[in-house]
Amino acid sequence: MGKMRGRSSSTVAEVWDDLEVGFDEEGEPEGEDLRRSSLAISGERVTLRAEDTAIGVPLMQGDAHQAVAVAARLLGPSVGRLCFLLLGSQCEADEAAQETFLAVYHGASSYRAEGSPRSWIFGIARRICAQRLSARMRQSRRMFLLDRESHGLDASDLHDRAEREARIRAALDELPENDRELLALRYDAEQSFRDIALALGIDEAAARKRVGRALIRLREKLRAA
Amino acid sequence: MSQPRAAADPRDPRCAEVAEQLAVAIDGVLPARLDAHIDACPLCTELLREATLLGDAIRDAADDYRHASDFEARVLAAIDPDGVEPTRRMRRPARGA
Repeated sequence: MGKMRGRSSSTVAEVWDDLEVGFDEEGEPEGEDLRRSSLAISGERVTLRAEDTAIGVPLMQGDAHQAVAVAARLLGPSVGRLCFLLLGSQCEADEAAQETFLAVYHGASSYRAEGSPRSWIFGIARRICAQRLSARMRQSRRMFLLDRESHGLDASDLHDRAEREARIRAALDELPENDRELLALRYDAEQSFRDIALALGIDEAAARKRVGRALIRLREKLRAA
Repeated sequence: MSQPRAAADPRDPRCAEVAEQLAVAIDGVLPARLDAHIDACPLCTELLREATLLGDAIRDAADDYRHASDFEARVLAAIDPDGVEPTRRMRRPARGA
């Protein structure tokens, strides 16, 4: 079993290569697959959290059960919050979060360490939420269409936390799905622009611009409400 | 998708640039010349202030989510309903296979 270490800034490959790897039942080093996989990594500098290493070690060693157990414990709340922002429903977010970790289990062998385990799992959650959204009418998405009589976005309007959160959720719901994803990934899931770029298949500069444009659109929705 | 209308002065290219780099501006890593422009431009100052507020508000908007205390147990039960791990070890396929 690999020794867990947190790194604030390193490459995915460096972290995997630094792990102390055990031996399997046949006496072969368990790190062989792990090292082979790490060679394909681009070498760009990424931010890895301790939880990435904790999930990444069993994931790269092929222990899907352990990877999911650790991931559900460490990332369950974050994945749930992301699903909540994307779906707008506590019940659906709970289901989508659970579905996400089942998909992690069944798709563990497809993880290629092209991004952090955290980003990979958020990407799965995003796809599951997108599937759920496309399967129902937009009008039925939300549980939180609350009073939206206040006008414009002003600090004085946002003093009431509950009102502010309801207004933000309602405005998010009116945004295009891509904008909602970008904003949830960046500002709730705290994904780097690089990870967002990887998730969306775009370059990092484009990710930064799209997040900024999504913020401006959200601001306009709030001002128009 | 249509381009969002930036609230800052559309006649000033620096305002457009701030709007284009808004996500970076929130992180405080804009080039010095754009920082200087923001300091001098009330419209860009207001755009940045509201955008920063929105970033925090998006995070707060998820706070109503209540994570189930038995979430991990339910996930593991769904994977392994009989309490037996069917495939404890899933070997990764060889790259390129």
